[in-house]
Amino acid sequence: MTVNLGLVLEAEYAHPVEKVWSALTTAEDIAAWLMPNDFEPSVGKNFTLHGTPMPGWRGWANCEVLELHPPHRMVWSWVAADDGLKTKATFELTRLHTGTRLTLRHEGETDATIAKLLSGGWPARLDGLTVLLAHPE
Amino acid sequence: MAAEATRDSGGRGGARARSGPPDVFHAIADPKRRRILDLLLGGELPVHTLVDEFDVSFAAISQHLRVLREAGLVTRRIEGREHLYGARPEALVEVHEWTARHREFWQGGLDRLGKHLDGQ
Repeated sequence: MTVNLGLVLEAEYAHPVEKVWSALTTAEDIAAWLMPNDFEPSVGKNFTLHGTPMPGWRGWANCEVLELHPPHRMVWSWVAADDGLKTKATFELTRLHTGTRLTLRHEGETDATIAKLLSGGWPARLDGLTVLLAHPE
Repeated sequence: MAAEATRDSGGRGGARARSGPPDVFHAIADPKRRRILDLLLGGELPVHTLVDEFDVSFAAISQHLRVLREAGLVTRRIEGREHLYGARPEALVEVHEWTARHREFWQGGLDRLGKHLDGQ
């Protein structure tokens, strides 16, 4: 197994890119599929996503729009914990014959370095980790 | 020689807050520390071998080892006059958990986005 540190998710929707883009960049839509927010589609805009506190999460995320390239790419900075660990969420839309593919990446600030570390031989040593993950305490 | 202490609980050194995962992130953010971990993957090594590998002082290597040890990424064993350091990759579990938690969160979001789009 490998430990994925750069989180990448893909989804395909049977809707045109413009429609998906609109749902990603309109506050009311974001509220419907993600969380209530004060998002505005402009670079540099700071906004907050308000969720429900749960174990491991304080319940809100402070974000900033870092990049906005309609209708294909949007990047948010993302600070979800009091420790201030800054992460980055990237949304990318690809036009398909059948609709739109959304690729979401969520990466920690040190992600590339972790990946580098892992490529340096850690995976071979991760058998114990696999067991640990398969049988949590 | 003082008794082995697995964690430095005293007030020396930088007073970083001890809450949550960033310790591991912080520890591996430094290229020299990653290189140390790489070397330790091959098995336990004494401090002087690590010092020889880098063009820095013993004190500098000790400091890096301390950060790694506090993050749980390396272990220290004292054998006679030698301090032997070893890698402990299980510590990366924290990073994995961070990823798993976010994966679940985003998967839920993307599923809801699909339903939202279908309903428009």
